[in-house]
Amino acid sequence: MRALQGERVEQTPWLPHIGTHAAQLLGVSAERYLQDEGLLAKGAVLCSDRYLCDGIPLLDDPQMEVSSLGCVLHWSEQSPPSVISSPLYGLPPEQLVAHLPPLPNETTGRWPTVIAAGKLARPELEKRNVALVGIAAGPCTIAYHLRGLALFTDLFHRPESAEALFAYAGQVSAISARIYAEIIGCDIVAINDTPATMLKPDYFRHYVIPHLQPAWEIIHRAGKISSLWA
Amino acid sequence: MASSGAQSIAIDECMALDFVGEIAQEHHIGFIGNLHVTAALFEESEAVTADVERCMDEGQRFPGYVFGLGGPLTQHITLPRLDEAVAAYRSRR
Repeated sequence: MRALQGERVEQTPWLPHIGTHAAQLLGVSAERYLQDEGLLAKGAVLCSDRYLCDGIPLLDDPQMEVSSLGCVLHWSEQSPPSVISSPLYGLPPEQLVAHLPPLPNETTGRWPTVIAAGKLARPELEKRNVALVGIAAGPCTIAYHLRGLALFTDLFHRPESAEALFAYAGQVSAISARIYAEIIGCDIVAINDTPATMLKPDYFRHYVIPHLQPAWEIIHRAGKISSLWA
Repeated sequence: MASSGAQSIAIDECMALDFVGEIAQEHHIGFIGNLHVTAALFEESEAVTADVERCMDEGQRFPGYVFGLGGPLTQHITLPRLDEAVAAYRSRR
């Protein structure tokens, strides 16, 4: 924890980006693993024991949030699902705001499974002095999944529509951060926003950083450690 | 990323870890990275321990370093190579 706050520590800690690797260790498909609370919890503890790490993600699926926001997923045997249909893709930019999906909460989509998995894994990891890590999708990841490639043309042609979509996506990220920090009690909450690395720095500053702030506020208010993964 | 308000950042395999370490130190944040996962993927690639050494050599020069991967593990990972990487890390931690 001290290292993640920029301090020099005696021993370098280690925190793996686990993906669906636990499914391989458990001998089950990624599709089954990612939708089963018992397997998710067992996988986190198994990886923690096998790799002797200091922190372990509960779930590493960048598509988790958008599956309850109208995106159609194609499940895979060996990796997280892919988004094959984006609900806002074909809309004219001026209609985006009117079609934004209702915001999720802890009862929607796969959240009940993830919360149950967290409740199972947390005490086991505490016994081992291993931090539980929640990974929430970042604003650009969510906006990109909802809008598809049209997101990037919006940035040029209809920046006000893109702005509204990023603001909505930031709210979704903040809700995920709240669930991980306050309901599950993760020690570390990471925002994973890999598609944001496709943006030029000016766009990253304008569209992404402001919409990360609600998540950081929630994480820090809960006394947890924040991390940005990209 | 370093000025985003997060207390730490994790970076992928494309970034030079010592460059990120300098930025992290300047911003008083932690940084996680960035073992090439492909080094643990294929038997024919160079020894994974060499990349662990790179991470530890570059990362440990700066406060706030956390050893991590440059990307998520895949299900095609070669388990003995990953175990080898972890052993190499533990010998240097």
